[in-house]
Amino acid sequence: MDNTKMNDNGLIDINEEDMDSREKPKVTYICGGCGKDNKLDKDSVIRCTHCGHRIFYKKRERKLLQYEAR
Amino acid sequence: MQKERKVNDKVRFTEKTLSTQLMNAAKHHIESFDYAMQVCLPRICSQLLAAEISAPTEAELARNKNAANTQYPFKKMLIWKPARQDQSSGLITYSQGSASGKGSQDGDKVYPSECRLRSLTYAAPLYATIARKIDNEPEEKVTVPLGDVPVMVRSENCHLHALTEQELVKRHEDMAELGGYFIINGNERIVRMLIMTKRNYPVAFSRPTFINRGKLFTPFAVQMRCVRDDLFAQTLTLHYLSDGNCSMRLIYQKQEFLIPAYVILKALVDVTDVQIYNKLVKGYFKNRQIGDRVEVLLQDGNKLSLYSQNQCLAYLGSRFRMALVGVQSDMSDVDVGNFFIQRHLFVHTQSYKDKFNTLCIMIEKLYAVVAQECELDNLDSPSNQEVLLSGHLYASLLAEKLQDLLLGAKAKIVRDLRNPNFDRLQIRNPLYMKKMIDSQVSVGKKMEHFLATGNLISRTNLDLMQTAGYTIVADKLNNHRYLSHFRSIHRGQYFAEMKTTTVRKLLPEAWGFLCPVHTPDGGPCGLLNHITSSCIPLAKEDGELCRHGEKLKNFKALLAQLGMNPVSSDFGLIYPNKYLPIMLDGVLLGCVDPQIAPELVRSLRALKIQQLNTSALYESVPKTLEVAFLPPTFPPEDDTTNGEQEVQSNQKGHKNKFFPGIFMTSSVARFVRPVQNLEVGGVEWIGPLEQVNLSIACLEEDIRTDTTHQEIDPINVLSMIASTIPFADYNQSPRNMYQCQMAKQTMGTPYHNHPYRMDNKVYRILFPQEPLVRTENYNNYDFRQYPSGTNAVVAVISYTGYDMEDAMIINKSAYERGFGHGCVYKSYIKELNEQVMGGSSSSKSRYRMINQNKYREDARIDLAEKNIDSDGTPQIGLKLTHGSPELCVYDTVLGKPKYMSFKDNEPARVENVRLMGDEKGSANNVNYGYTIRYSRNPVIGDKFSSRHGQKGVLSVLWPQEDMPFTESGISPDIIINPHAFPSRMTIGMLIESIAGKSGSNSGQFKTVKTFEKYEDDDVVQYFGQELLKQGYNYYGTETMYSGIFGDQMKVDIFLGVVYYQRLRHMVSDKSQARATGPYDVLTHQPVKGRKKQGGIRFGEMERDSLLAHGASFCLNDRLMKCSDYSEGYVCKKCGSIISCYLNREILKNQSSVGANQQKYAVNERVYCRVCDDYDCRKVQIPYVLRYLTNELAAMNIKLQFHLEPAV
Repeated sequence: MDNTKMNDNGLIDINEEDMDSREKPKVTYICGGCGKDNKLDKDSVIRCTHCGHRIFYKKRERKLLQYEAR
Repeated sequence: MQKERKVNDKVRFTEKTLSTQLMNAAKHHIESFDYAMQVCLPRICSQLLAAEISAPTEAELARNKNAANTQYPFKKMLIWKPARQDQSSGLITYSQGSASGKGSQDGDKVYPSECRLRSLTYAAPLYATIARKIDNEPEEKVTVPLGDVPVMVRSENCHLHALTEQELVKRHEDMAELGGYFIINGNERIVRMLIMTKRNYPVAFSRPTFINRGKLFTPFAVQMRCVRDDLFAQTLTLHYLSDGNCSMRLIYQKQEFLIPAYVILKALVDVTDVQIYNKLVKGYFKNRQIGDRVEVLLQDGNKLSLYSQNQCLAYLGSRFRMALVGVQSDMSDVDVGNFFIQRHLFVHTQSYKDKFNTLCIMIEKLYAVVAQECELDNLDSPSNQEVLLSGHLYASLLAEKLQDLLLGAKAKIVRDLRNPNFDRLQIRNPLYMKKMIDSQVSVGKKMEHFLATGNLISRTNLDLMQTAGYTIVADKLNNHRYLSHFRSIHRGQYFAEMKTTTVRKLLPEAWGFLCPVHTPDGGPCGLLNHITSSCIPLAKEDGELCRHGEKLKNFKALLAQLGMNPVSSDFGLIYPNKYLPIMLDGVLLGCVDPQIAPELVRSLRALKIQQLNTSALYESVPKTLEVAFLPPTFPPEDDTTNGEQEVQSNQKGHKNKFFPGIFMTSSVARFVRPVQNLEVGGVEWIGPLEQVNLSIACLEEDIRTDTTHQEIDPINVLSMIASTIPFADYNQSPRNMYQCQMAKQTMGTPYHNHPYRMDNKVYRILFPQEPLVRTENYNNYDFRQYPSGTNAVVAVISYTGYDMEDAMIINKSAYERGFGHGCVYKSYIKELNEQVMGGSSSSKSRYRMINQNKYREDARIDLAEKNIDSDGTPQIGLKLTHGSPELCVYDTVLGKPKYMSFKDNEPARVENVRLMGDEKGSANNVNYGYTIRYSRNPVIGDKFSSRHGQKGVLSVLWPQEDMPFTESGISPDIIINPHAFPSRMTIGMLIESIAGKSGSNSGQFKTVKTFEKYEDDDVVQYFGQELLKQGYNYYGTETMYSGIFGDQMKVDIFLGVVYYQRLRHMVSDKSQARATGPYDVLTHQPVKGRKKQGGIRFGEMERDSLLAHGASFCLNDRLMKCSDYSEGYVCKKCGSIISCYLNREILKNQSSVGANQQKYAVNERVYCRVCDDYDCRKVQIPYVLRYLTNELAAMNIKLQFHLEPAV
């Protein structure tokens, strides 16, 4: 629950709260032009809502990845 | 509270900015492009032939006046900066164009980083203003787009031009973004420099093959590569014929033409033959030969019945009318002749008088060479060469494509005019003209194709020798390799196939211009060279001497002041033969008394260095003017001495080294380098032709009485890479060559903007260090910003037996601390809907992003189980192994998710995933950009090297506790075998080891100077003393103890600190082994190729070896059992293996007999279709044999096999 509340900036993301619980969690992207966070909605075009840049970088998540520790 | 987080704010800068020397490494490419766009483009426009269309017939003219004579000349060309293609493709007037070109919003700009990531071409729209003129009506200008032409990064047409390091980083570039390349489909491509013959300079040479050119031809010829100021080139070759005559050969549109020299001489000036005779012979009657030869030359007039200028022009016109492009049918022969002379003969000059004088010089030189008065020139010598720069080639290709465009459009209009249904009023419509231009293949596409493939598709071949291989990919493996691409210069593809090695020779004339060390060994050795660190290929004009203008006038006046006798149009005035010609850019300016000449040259040189601005005359001398004074070694004696002596002296071989004269060059594309002028004081820029006759001292001690110049620094004769080898002057020369190669194969730091690039394969070293011992040029070029190695404690000792044959031992603990660790990044794009050629529109939108579709809960769980996020891409940092899914998309046809799996066998981690939309912004065209990371820590078999051509492979990671150690407890990181030194003589490495040791003890970086004289000329003394002071052995040796036995070693071990590079050749990229795996469908043999899990070929030589050993079972196992073993049947009767087959019916009939018998019967009862018999035997045959038999059978050839009992 904590993970969904906070985004990486440590701010509460209101949109996430409003989301239908059945909807899958959206993946966050960083705009390659202005560096702002973006989310992709259904049928949305890959284009930054802030600067119009067309390259999105997938954001590294807080979620743990299992690493081999040998 | 909402804090705006900007990616760019994270960037921190050091105080120091990058060195200008580094930033100028590719400057010549950028300047050549800027020169092409700003200076050449307008010149090209003025030189392009207008598309002239005359009315088809008189009758039609009467019927419709609108079809009257129409001209379409290019007026102006404009190239913008790369921007998005959002504007409608309407007609843009010039004013609109320039307004939106300059004032475009930042969001519309396309930056190079975006092109690299999205695999686009970095191109800008090219607009041409075409002035249409109908009859005598005023011109009407229309601007039409000609498509997007690729733009060189950091040129003035690039958004990155003149940006500071900080601004570059904001644009997602590396701080040391050099530019100088094009981005084509996301790839960085460089137009490599090519060596060309020096322009506008007559070179005399001989080729035995010239004899085969025709009757009377001899091997002797004088050639001049004439280049106009818009870079249009036309080579003219003047051949000597055995009867004393000359013949001019030129290639036009890949067609060869021969013209008698007389015709050209007469066509250029309207004078009598006697005047021409006097002009050529110059009263040099003493040597009768030249007079005789000129007589023969002039007799051509009688043979061809050409007596006047007009007759000669008409002769030329009639010969070239059919071949020449741009000749109108209504031109007279004389007009065509004039047209030919203006556009193809001595194109570097404009006036007929200059053309005539140039031809005279060529004839004089040819006769001088034939008469053995001067030696032949060497076309392989840099003194007769210049360079073809990327922008210049770009401009000349663009010029031809523009001309083709006009000609193509003209042809189309003419065809329309012939059509009776064509509305002739259309021709006045600007949209019609635009339509005609648009109907041609876009100029931008053609330029892009040239840069993408390196193939020159051209009507005329642009007077070049090769048609392919002009461009190379700028490989960013490390900074060394990347930089050397910009400084590499190729002799030409043509010479690579030549069997003789003379072209590959290193000539003394190359001193200071081409690096003697930095050339690859093997195939391209000596053909692919690198310019030295001080050499500059001039990309733009310095001064405007090549244009007829005020400066040229002043320059001529200056020369006259200095003692030159200006050339006159008066044919009665003939200067003595001994007078030296003064030429500027292939144009004769005058001549000078050989007595005055040295003083004239000296004064000119002084003015060139001082750059005085006290008088307009002085100002006219450019800083980089090449003043090549080729003095007469044996000046022709006065007319008073008798001729016999002269002949005698000639026979003794007393001839001039050069065709004497003062040859000045101010044009572009030649090499210059700075040297110190001792007479005037100050830096002088000299060229390769003048260098030959200058006395340049290398060091202070070399100065003699006649020395005029001195090298600024002897290191300047080495290239950028070669000058970063420490103590290179102590190494055996080939070792330095190997290091130049290996520096370019080192895993290093290619750039610092990893997230914003997607090169196919990138090597990166993880814990790089600056070298403790480095050269001055290493600092000057800021290589420390892009380090590519580690300082390692190296012991030279034969220790474990694992160090034989250039193998090296690495301390396991050093490895665990990170020594040599690195990784490889691979990037690729996966398209949501791959563009299938000719695919229907439904297939283009078959797949959609997975998160855009509702899917059931179990699909979601499925995704999560496969470690794929809801957008169908893997998490950043996920480990991908063979077969694990890396992308999931939604298939709208099947209505379920589709997984794409990771194909590589080596596990990798996801470094970066990018989603990229297209210009139209359609949801169906999303590209997924992946960057994955393979960790590549050193494993046994990986290659390492010091900076002295001492490469070796890692043979074992030896535990530190078993490593030898010194009294102070130091154990080496690397152990190499002492046998590496005696035969290779890399003393530089030993000195580096001592210097590194001293530096590491005192905590300083040692900047050493190549060719520097240390105290008493002894480096060992210098660093040995330092070591002594630090309490070490003078020679760098130390007492060591065995790590295994703990006892002291009998000899002291040489231990020091050496900078080690890790080379990109790694076993994991090369290891190839299989027990079993995929087979070829056709032959049933194992496939080849490491990628496909294939086998290694057991070839013919390997077969011979096994045969020689008599290991026939081994042979049978390799070539048969482990390959395409198969069983088949041979018919005993007919010997065929393709006519036999098991007959099911027969087997059924046999089933009634006993079970034992049945098995036997199967073998025997195989039916031969040809013989209609059952006499077949089972045999073991390779499957390819069956295939071969079938192939041959298809060609009506039968293979028969006879069975014999095994011995």
